[in-house]
Amino acid sequence: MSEAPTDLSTKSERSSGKRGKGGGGGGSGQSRHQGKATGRARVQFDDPSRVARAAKAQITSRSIQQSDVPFLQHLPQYEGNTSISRGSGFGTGQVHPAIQALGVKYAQGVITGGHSRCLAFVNAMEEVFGDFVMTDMNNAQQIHRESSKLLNRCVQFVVECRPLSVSMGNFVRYLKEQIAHLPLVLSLPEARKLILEAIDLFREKRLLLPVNEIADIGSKLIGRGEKIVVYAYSEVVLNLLKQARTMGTDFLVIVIDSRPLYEGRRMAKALDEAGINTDYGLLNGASYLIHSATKVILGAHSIMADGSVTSRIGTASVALLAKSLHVPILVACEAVKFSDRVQLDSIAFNELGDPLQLLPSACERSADASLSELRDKLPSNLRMINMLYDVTPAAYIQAAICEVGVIPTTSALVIYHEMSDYTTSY
Amino acid sequence: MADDLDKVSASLQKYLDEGMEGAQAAVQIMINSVTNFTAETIMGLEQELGNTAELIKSTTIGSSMEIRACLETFISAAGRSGFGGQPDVGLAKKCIVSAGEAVRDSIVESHQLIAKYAHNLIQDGSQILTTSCSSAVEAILASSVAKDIKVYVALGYPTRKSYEIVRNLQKLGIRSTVLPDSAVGSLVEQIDVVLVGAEAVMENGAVVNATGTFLLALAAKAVGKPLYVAVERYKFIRLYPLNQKDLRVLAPDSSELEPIEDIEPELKQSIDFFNPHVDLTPPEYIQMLLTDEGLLPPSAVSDSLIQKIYRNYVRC
Amino acid sequence: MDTKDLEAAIKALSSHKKAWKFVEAFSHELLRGSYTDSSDVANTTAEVLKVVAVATCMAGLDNVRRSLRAVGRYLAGLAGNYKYVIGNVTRRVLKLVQETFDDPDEEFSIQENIKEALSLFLDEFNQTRDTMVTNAAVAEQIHSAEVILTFGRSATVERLLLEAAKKRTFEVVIAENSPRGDGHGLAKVLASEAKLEVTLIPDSAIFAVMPRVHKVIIGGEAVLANGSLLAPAGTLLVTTVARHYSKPVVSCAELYKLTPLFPLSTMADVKLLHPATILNEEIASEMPNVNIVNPANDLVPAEMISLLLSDNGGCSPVVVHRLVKQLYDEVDVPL
Repeated sequence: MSEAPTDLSTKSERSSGKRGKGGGGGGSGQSRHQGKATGRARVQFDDPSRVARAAKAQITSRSIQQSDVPFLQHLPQYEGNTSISRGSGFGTGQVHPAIQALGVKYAQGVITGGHSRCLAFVNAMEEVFGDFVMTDMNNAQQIHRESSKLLNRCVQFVVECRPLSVSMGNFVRYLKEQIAHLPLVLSLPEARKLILEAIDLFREKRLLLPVNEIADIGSKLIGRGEKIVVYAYSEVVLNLLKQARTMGTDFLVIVIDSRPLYEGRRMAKALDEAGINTDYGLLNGASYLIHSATKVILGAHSIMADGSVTSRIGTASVALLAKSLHVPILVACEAVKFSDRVQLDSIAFNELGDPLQLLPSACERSADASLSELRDKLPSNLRMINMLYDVTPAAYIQAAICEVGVIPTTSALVIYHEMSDYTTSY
Repeated sequence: MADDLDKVSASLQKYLDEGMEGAQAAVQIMINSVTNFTAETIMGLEQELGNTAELIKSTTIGSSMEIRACLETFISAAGRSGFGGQPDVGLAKKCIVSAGEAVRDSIVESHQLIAKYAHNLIQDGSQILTTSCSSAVEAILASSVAKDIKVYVALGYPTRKSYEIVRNLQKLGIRSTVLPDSAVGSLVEQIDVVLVGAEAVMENGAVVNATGTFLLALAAKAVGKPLYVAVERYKFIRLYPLNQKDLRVLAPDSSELEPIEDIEPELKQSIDFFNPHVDLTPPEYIQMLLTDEGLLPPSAVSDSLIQKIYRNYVRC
Repeated sequence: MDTKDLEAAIKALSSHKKAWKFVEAFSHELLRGSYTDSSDVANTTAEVLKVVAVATCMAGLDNVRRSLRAVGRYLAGLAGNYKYVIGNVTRRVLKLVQETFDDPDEEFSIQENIKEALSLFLDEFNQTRDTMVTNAAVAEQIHSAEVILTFGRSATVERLLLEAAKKRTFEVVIAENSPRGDGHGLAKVLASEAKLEVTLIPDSAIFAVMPRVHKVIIGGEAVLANGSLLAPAGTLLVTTVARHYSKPVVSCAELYKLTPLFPLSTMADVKLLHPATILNEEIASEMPNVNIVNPANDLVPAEMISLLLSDNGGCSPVVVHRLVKQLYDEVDVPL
């Protein structure tokens, strides 16, 4: 989720200072990782001095607000997408157009979902570094400095449009490492080529290939006549189910959906188009829908260090109900979404959406519209919360399907550490 | 092919008759097949290893989870020995044989090591409930003779293998109380620990053992008693069943178990039996695995396995 | 009583023009779905049954019993969610009529006896709404600065919160209960009328917000004899989450919701509603083969409920079977 840019730079200083090149998986690996983790505190938005600092580093003119919900004041608030979509308020020219276009899409919710967001970001960064030029070629050190400055600037802009996803954070960390480890004597075209190669490798090995591998592994876990519960929309899960269908397995998918995003509709539509038998219902019918199911397969935003899973809000409830009905729960998640953070509840860190989305939309005619007339003048003692994620405790999840295989979610951290070593030894 | 199978089957039986355990016998056959290997290439050697393993798995004795896990351990030990990099077949054979012998010897020693590591877990005057027969459990109990322990053995219906451990304990001067599996619920509140062996340990730390083990685990959990599983390291296997049904796919039931003996044949023909020979105990029921590499929480199993898997994944 | 007897009884009743007019009027209202508060349904049912009983009691106990049961069943069949309430009120009236016939005041005619007994019952019954909320045990359940979570809008819970708001300030978190979204209405009332601090959340946020909550208060359409609660779909999700966080769950139900029936299985009592409320035709037409499932209710098992509040105070849900024995005659259980 959010990585404030100031944090990223402190962290990269720490790690580039400490780390030598190469060194894939030695005994000292563990302690290195621990040292790294402590440097990354998120901006707490109820801390005035940190907020002031963050405001100073801002590129766009979006205001930093505080929530009127007392227990959510430490979170970055939803600010509306007005300033960005109008294109005003940021020095155009300073940020690459590809990143600008991307930022608007993030802010408006045109690109959503961990996989798509990260892929779009990687593609945009490829464009950015493809156009990478320098004003002053005198100093060899300059390439390192300029390119990481460029990266920071792009990240800063993107974060202001919407907090980074875990996979995007992992990509930024990877790219920083790559830039830090560029050979000292390089011409600009050579440096550009190496960076582009690194980006391309990440896209292939960490984003595209895993989705297929997960589909391969996961589709074999679906037997004939099974009833699979899924929640909202997940690219990875959809792919897995389609693959199982392609293999000729006959099964039923039960899509559980929720207001206000209704992402499950997109899932149900895609499943229907793929010729898969599909049931569809809302979260209030979840206990009814799950009681006849044989498996639950969930997508994830991230798997954290203790094995708990952040995912679209509502996922935890589905997992909890499935657990209480003894239906096994699997999480399909690429290793790039693994994180070394921990979080006990869904409030310590989260992303907030537009609270007014909770008011019934035009297509929800049968819903109670008592509050719609108050839209612009809600009384101050009436608040609405629209959080985007929740945290599913590790104990509810039988296994994670990642590109490496089927693993317990508590082992995700092992892979995260191995992966970090691998990316630096590239 | 059928010939080979008979041969493997016969030599397995021979080793067992000589007093070896199944796993040891399987490893010995693997070692023999490498020693007797005559072809010229290392690739052929690799194939031979795979073929023999498959042959052993397709015998009745060799189809158990335990031996499958053991063969997996053997093959990965052979892989680690670096035989693939040797200049000639002779050297490669030597590598494998010495790795294999290490595995075989570790099996022999494992029980004593387990007993050593588990020693402090058994308190003076403990009342211990077990089922089926496990050499590792036997070793732990034998090393606790001086502690005035009381042993309860659930019968392990219908195989009644449990009498074997009762017999062996009796030789050591430990008197055990035998109970039918159906009496576990009535007994469990008065015991201190449940201690069982395992046929194999799955990737997530779940344990596969003789039917009845899960029932003991459920009972122990319900009254808050710890369940310890004494298991040799070679029994860790890369399988990930999600529930009992998955396990039955991985370990199909052998048909020889005759569940009910005292009924008239006509009735027997008109009823169906549900008679799995193993069941699955999920990791959340297990307090600790007592292995020859020390005491492990169930989650540690996957962590160590996964590190290896990931490195393989990245390599290829 | 099989269908034939039912039809015959209804037919016989239609000769009592005045009584039948009452029944018809009520059944129209039920069919139109104009009720949102079970206590209105219960009161009207009692009034209608009184008229029926008075009109038919001259023909003897058997006749009046048959008429009452027929009307009760007929109305319950039209009442959707309120069928348990109507059934229970019918059982109460049946018991009263039986008692009156067994031990009449000899000075008056049987008709006057019945009239008297049922009028007393109605007076008491009409006050249920007030006794329920003013009952000390009920108000005591919410203390100062507590955070209460409720699901959707139950008239019983609403009355209780409004009453408690007169005494002290506390916060309410309301899960909206999609697709009906009736939580919005409750949020509006509690915020503007009672001036409580109100937070409205989508159903998906129940798990995330539960750690902030002290107590969960829910309503439902019936409490079954084993103490389980038949409630709007989604309530089971709320109580399961509450159990995960060890938060107490208080269920509120007036006595007329106590039903002498046992659940058949966890899902057998679940009715399915029309799919259009969760997916309108336009969107549904984009996925023609998708089967849309819209269950109406959940059965919340008794062990998930910490406390049952009703007109005569609080009790553990496991004693419901005893209360039910006091309220109804065993013979009236199958209507």
